[in-house]
Amino acid sequence: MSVRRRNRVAAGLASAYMALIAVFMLAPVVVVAAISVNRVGYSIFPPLGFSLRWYGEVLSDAQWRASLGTSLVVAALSTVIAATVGTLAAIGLHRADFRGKHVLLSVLTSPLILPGLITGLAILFFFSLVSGVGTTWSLVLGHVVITYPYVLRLVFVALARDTAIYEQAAMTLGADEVTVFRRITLPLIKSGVVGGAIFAFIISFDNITISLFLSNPRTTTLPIRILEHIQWSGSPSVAAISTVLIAITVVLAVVIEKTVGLQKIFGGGADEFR
Amino acid sequence: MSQLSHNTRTVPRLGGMFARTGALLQMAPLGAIFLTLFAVPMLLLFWVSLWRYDVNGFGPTAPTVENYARFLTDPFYLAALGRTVLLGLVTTTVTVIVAYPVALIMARSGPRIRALLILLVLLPLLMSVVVRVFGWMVILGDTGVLNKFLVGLGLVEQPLRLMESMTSVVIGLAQVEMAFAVMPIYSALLGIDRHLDEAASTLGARPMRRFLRIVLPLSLPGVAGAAAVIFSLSVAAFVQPQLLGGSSFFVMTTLIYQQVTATLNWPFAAALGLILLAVALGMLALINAGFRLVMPRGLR
Repeated sequence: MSVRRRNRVAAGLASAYMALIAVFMLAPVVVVAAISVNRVGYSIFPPLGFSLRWYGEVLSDAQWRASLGTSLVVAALSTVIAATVGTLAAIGLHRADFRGKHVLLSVLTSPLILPGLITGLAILFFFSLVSGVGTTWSLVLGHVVITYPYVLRLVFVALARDTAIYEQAAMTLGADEVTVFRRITLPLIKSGVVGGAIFAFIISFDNITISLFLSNPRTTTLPIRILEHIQWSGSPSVAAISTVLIAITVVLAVVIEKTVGLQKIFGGGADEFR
Repeated sequence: MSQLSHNTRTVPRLGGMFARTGALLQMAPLGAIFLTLFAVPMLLLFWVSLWRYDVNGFGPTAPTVENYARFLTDPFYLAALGRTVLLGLVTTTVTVIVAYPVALIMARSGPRIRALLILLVLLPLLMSVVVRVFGWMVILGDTGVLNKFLVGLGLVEQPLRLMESMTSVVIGLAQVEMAFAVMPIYSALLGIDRHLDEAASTLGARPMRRFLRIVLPLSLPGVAGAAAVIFSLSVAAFVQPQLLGGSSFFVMTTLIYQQVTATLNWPFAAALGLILLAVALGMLALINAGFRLVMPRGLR
């Protein structure tokens, strides 16, 4: 077999394999989206007819609307808090001059490494002791614990490109501290902050393990309600609300790609887990 | 200390805001959140796991190891732990084997194909796990998409029982964790010096041999990293075993959920959580040690 022919075969095999992987990665989401536009009242694929009636049904349903609202409010609030404290701490950690800085960073990002369900359980115990669960605030604060590590890490990486030299230059030229922070430091770490915040929003919006124990019948996030629903019914309306959830996430993912690049977030991810 | 630094006239360093105290102040809010909402709850979890549970419920008692003893003496719970570890190992093996060629193709493609593949692998990661597992339920069910397809093509006579088994849970986990396997392996492959491959080629080594003797060994650190992450995620997963595993497929996470929500035995749930944590860490150490044995000497 000649080299050229062998290369053609290899390229063909590679393409076939990638096609299989593409199906594997996209099939579940495509199937759910397809079911959601069924005209009939049961889940069937390929869908029978086309109708958006299930979207109308879920979006006019008070319970689904309440869960969607809870999810959006919880994600927004926890993102704001996580982005604020995470950015501040990253700046502080970057400035601080002591040995074991990276050990401290690992300790502070440890909520990412522990199984989420265990963290969720611990937070449940905490809130049932101090304030009771099922409040929006318990959900928000619970979500902050698993979202701030992303902001902390991304902003810390952005700072590592060493902002100090530009800051010094600005100081030498007579800029005061506040101006330096506003005109030099912040612009340099903006992509880290924005990326971290959007990522935090997605993590919170999709979270199961923390919300699972902190939800109650009155205050439930959307993923938890979907989870409860599909355990005893897989009707097209669940598929419709699921598709809404996916759509929101995809929009955010596109924003991430445009601002920071998805790779930045996951590329070095493996090192953080060791 | 800050008194002194304010009076010295050296190169302007950002004072107050960025001095040592400033740095501490900046870390304080996050530190407070970490302590109150993570460190203290984890200690509380440990404490609650030592409480006694009886017919009246539970509350602070003299510390007892009853919950742990109960776990270690009951075959049902030990089987759940065994199933959890097995699920982790099977998922890790399957995911890494499926992901390796993806990473390899990625590393050897041009920038446009590469960007497309990265998007294909990463984008699903940002989609709700619940929704994707729901999709798998529809695909793998007895009257699901896959069975219809197989029966329609005449490949099988009877629909396959895919749901409520280790198989369906592994499929659901592998798809969700694919990105965590592909990216570290891809990074490792990019880091391999191309000249090594070229030199081997010049010396007459065939592609397969070059792969087995050069590329694969040098990429093992990436594989080890991927395996550690996949294993951790798999034993910690809840949605897949709960929805795809069926009512008798108990792993540690679904047991914890049952103890918290149905049985209301929180001390036992806490013990289960800590046992899971300890076993996961122990297994990770074993996996790491295993990889070190087979890695080329310079990479250990």
